[in-house]
Amino acid sequence: MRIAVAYKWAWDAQDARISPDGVVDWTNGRPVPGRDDGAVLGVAKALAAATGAEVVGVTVDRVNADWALARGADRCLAAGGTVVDPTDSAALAAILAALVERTEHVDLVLIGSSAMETGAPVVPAVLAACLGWTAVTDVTGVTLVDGVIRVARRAADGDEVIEVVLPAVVAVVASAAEAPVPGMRDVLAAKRKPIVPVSLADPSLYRTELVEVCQTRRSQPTPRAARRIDGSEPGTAVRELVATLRAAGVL
Amino acid sequence: MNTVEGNEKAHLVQSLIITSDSAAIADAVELARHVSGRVTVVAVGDRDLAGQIAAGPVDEVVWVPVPEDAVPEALVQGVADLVAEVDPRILLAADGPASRVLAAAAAARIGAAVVTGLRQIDVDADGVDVICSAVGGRLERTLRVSGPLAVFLDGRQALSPTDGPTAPISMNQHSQVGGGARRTGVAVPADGHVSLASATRVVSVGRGLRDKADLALIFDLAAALGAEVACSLPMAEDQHWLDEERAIGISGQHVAPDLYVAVGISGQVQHMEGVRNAGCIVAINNSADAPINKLCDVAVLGDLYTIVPAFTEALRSDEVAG
Repeated sequence: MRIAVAYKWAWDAQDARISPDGVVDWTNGRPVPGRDDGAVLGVAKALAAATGAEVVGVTVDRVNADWALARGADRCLAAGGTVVDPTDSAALAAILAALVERTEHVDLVLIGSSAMETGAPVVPAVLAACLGWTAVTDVTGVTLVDGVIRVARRAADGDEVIEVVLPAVVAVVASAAEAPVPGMRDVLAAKRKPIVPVSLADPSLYRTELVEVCQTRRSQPTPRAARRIDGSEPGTAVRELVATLRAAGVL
Repeated sequence: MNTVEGNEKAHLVQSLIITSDSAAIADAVELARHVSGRVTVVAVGDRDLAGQIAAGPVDEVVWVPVPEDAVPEALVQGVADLVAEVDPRILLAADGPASRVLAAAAAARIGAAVVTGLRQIDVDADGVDVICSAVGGRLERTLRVSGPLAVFLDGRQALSPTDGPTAPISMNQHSQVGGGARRTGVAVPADGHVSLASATRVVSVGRGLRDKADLALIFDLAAALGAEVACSLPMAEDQHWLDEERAIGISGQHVAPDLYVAVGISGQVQHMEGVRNAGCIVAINNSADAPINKLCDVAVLGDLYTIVPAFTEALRSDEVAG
């Protein structure tokens, strides 16, 4: 079995500099570990220990790709040779899919589920679509039972248990606030593991030719007609607040 | 281009909504009405889901039943086939994990460009213009899309039932359960699960709170309101007073509740982007100069340590929370 783990595929939006006329400068930005990346590698490591699977990291961070090697990956493929728009979720997903295909014979792709994107978190779903596989996202736990991958996912009536038929993409939500930090031994061992730079000069990007960017501008919060209530007399203020919310239909 | 007839002023194109996780798709319905003049929804789930949607302001529901031992994602190829037959110009994906997986596969099948962070969409004779948010909400981009488009929406807004007859529901019998995944059971739910995405009321707290123990005030207010508790990013990432899944902002949750009560939150851009689509925003803080006072609907200027308990008491005593 071979497991591909997608990690460090998103940029921190706060690292971007935006000029007043909407030009974005990512010079100070780099792909960062997602909130769930540590948990995802933990899942991969546990599955590998149970099955003898190889864990291959795939990332768009060519500079610090060894992050995953210190956390259980056996080798990594890091994309390069193509201009990556950090804001184009579909293109990022397509690049990750291309790396998975370049890895060959991958049975399971693990990726973080939490949104590092603006708007809906689409990268895991689009990644699966590029591969032609199904995906199960928002997964809170992964186990291996009699050689079958089972995942837990929160549903309206409880945590549903789903049996996943491979090949598939599974997007994991970290349940712990912080994933275990690798020790010095793992960090040193990571330096001996291979990082393979992959040139994707002509990836099958997600229909970007259909989209023309006509204008960009720095976004401003939408002002609202704020009604001010003097809170110096709490009782009076709260009565006015309740009356206002009743009139608005939200109470 | 799939163009439907419209009047001389409106250019309309064919659209299709895909939902599986929830019937709270009012935003998708409004968009479909705007671009198509007609609302067709593909509901992948049980009969209740299709029924709830059909009772709303839609014109047609295509119901794709999901067997009890299956998950919607297992029908991904069949749903993609269905969408390919319709061949819409605009595919609208409702908010939810299964909806996104189904819509992404369908988008790939019809060769659609993918857009997130939608703020506005318009159609004219030459194509589709989309205004969307990027870079964590700090950038607004106008795009012209020349081919099929898949819009992935975030946030859930409940459909209001219409007074008229319910929309017709046709059952799609061609979408068979494929491989991929199947449901084997339901485990005991874990305690403390936070569901901000579907919450209709949220009480959120920021650095105006002086001590972690004072979170009790916030939780009491939330209980009285029937609300979920959220927070600003620093409260979760820096102070660790609340889990990160409760953090709202550019790199946190984006919510669209009917009522959002921001307690001790100054209203920085990074936070307000996360509540851009909220219905009514109430700010409770003691700073007249706080940015949030211009970005909310009601600003109560005073000490949160007196106002919040008074608000909670008023809700409990008058039973107005409903």
